[in-house]
Amino acid sequence: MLILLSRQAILSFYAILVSLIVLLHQALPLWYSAILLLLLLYRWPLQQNDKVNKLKRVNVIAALILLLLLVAIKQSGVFHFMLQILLLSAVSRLVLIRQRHDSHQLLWVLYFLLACCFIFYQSMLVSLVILALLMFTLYCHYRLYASKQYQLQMLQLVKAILITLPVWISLFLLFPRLQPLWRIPTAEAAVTGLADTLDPGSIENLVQSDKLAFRAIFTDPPPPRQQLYWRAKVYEDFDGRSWTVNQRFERRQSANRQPENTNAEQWINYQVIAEVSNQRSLFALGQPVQYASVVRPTAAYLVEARRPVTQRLSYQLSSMLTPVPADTTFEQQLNSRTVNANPETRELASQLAAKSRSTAELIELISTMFRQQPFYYSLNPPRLGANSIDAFLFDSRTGFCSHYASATAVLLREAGVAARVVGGYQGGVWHEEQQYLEVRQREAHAWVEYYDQGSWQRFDPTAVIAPERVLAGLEAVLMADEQNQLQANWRRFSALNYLSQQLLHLDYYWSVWILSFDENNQQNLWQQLKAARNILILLASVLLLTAMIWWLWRFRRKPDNNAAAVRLINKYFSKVLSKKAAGQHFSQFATVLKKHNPEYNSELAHIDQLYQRALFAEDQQALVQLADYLKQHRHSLKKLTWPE
Amino acid sequence: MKSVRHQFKHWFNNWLDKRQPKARTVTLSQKIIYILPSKFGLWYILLLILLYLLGTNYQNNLILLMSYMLFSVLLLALVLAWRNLHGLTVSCAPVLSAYAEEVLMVPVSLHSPQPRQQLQCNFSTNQPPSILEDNRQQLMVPLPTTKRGFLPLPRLTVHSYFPFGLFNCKSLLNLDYHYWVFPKPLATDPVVLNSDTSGSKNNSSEDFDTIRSYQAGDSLKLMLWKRLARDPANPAVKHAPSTPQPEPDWITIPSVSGAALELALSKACYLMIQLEQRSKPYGLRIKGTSISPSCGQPHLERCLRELALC
Repeated sequence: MLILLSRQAILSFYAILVSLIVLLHQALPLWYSAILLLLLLYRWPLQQNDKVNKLKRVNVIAALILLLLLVAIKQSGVFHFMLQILLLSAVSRLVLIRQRHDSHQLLWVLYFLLACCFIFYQSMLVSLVILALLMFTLYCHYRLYASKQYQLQMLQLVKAILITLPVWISLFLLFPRLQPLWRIPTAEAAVTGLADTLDPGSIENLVQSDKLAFRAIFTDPPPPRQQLYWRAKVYEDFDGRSWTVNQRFERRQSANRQPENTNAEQWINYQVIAEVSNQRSLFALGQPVQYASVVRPTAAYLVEARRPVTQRLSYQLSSMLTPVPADTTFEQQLNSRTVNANPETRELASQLAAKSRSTAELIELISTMFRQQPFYYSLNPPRLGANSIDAFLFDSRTGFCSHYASATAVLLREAGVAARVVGGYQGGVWHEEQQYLEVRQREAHAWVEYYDQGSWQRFDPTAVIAPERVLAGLEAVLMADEQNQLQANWRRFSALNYLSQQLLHLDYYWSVWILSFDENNQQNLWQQLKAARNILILLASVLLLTAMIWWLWRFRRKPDNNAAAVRLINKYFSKVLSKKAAGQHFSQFATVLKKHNPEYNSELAHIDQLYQRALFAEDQQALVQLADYLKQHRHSLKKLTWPE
Repeated sequence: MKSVRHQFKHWFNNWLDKRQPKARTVTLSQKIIYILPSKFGLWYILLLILLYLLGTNYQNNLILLMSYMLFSVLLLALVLAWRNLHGLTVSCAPVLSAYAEEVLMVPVSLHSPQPRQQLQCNFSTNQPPSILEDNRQQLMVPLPTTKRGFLPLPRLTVHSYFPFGLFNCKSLLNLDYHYWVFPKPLATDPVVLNSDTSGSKNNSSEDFDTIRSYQAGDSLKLMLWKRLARDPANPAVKHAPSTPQPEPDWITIPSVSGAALELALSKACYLMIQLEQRSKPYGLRIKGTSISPSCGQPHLERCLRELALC
């Protein structure tokens, strides 16, 4: 059966497909998006001409594009390749589409691609846009099979939503969730957050970004700000200028380390919702002791995700805020290596080592040096040469946290103490009302861990030179012009700032309730349902009973065999109708009524006329008019009187 | 294999009959509405499964949410499809007739207080279904005829893909109507009609000078339209009592059987139509019964029915 698609439907599909191409731009090379859009233009104007050879032409073009894609598959990866092919098929289908039957494949692919958009975007706003697009697609789909004249009515829509919403929500809450069934190809994407190499300038660049790094929710009141050192990376290899992550972090850590004194009262339980970073490393406080299944421990008591974080990831952790114990004996040796650079620093280190009797004293000496000599904390330190530590300690004396951490670690190593630089985040903005800690890239930080008394002690030289950085955040330390540097232009308007903050809060609730709802939450819900079993059974039986009573009542009532017009009259004239004589027909009855209620003469005449037309001429229009008219005049009809 | 299929068909028909006994008017109830997923519906279910797997593998709640949402849309489609057919009253025009190998257009009425969407009707699956237009209550459903006779109406399929095209919601109705299939008219040599050359001369309307009241079967060509407008209660026709009645033609069906009988019936059918068009009286002799010569639509109908049942 040939049912042609309307111009409107084709245009709607165009709109959906173009927005999909825009949404999925991350998966498409630029040239490919351009080709797709050009191919879409091929259909312009939308006239449905019957030139069959178009099919051949489009097939040839699609085959050529497919070849190009196959050539580029190495760059794009399997997942992106799949998306590209799906988009190609949707576009070529749309170019040739004529009949309703053709739209089936198109709709199928559109639904699938819309779902794939959620792999790239999980923030609330974009998700809502995708959801709106999905609704529009569903509406177009509905229009294909509905009568052309028939407009979607609000009441029906509400009814439909009332049917679907409970099913939808209960499925989401209660339908069993599974672990990933097989490994899925992940796409290559730009890494954000702390990199594996710590240059003297890398953290300064990072803190200028306003982007969210992660959020944390504590089950108990959060620890004080100066305790919030979120460890993400440990840098152990130093080449005289920059620090890199040692290769041992790439090997998987199998041992499940349990701390000796498992005093659960000292544990801090928290949940972290990490933003997309496209790398494995995650954030933890102190020494983590209990892990959720999505994360695993790695060397130096760090945690990492099982695969790169390509979408928001939520995980539960318990930590002890104690210094991290030694991982391996080999670790100490690894962190005592020195390189043949920075000779002045080496000299200074040996002087300091000679002056001090213990490691604690050495640390104290370094702190005093930073405090008493003219060292400055700045977002814009001067560039340093190859012997960066020497240049910093003896020449510029102006630096950011990475400079101080790096210099301290080198000093300690040269003085014979095992030390390393730790990268991560410090502090965060605590939102009291929403009860969560917001940690942005702004809070990126570097500090030092040195080996003393069997564990890795934390030492933050920045806390010495700029204690406000640790106590109040970065903005408190910086000069006014440096603060401006941190803020994007639009952020200076307080109204916009407020709005964006509110959006961030909403986004937080979105992540907590929707994105991070998992098996554990589901199990909890089931348990709660089980606990409330008696009440639920009672509720269900009451509902069932009412339904049954309603059912019985409906069926015991005799079916109303009267025509619709008669039923209407029975309804609206119920008061006076009982007085009507048995043999009297409605016209006679109306005449009597008119005689006694002369003020309603014209109304009664009109009703009578419509009634006759509706009942005897089976005029549907008259029936509708009658219903409307009676409804309008229902108040005056109640005033009708009958002679006693 | 064929017999198994046949048996299954038989059993299925019996089963359908048990659920819906023959009736002149049928109101679609729960018992006789069948909802089956369409091909697209099956693909859609596959999509749901794929989305669930995708959401599970990526541990992506939003994809899972979308999969559940599309599932609830599937359920909604089920309910809406059912509601679109439920409570519909189906009936048919009482007397129907066609010549064999013609397509009989059966007027089917679908009554309901609420508006319905995209209802389709057909008698057999290889016939394209007719679609009920908006705001209409009647539609013509084609029924191809093959054999002459007085035949019961086959099952009428009322179905709809509304909404979303995911389900084919249908009802197979056994309506208690019969229809006539007359033999296929087959042109014969005009020799047989020779006798009417004299009659046709007489028949020209100028020769009619008197008036008599209209009787059933009188040709409309002889109707006095002006008079009818003045006095609609008493129609009158021109009448020529002086002219002799043309010799009635007797159409005789020889007592043969098989293909020869069919051929004779077809020829007789053609002849009757020709005679009727010329308003010449004709009679029919068939297997011992005979219909005395007359003229007019009811007479033709009667003769044709006799031919159909022969």
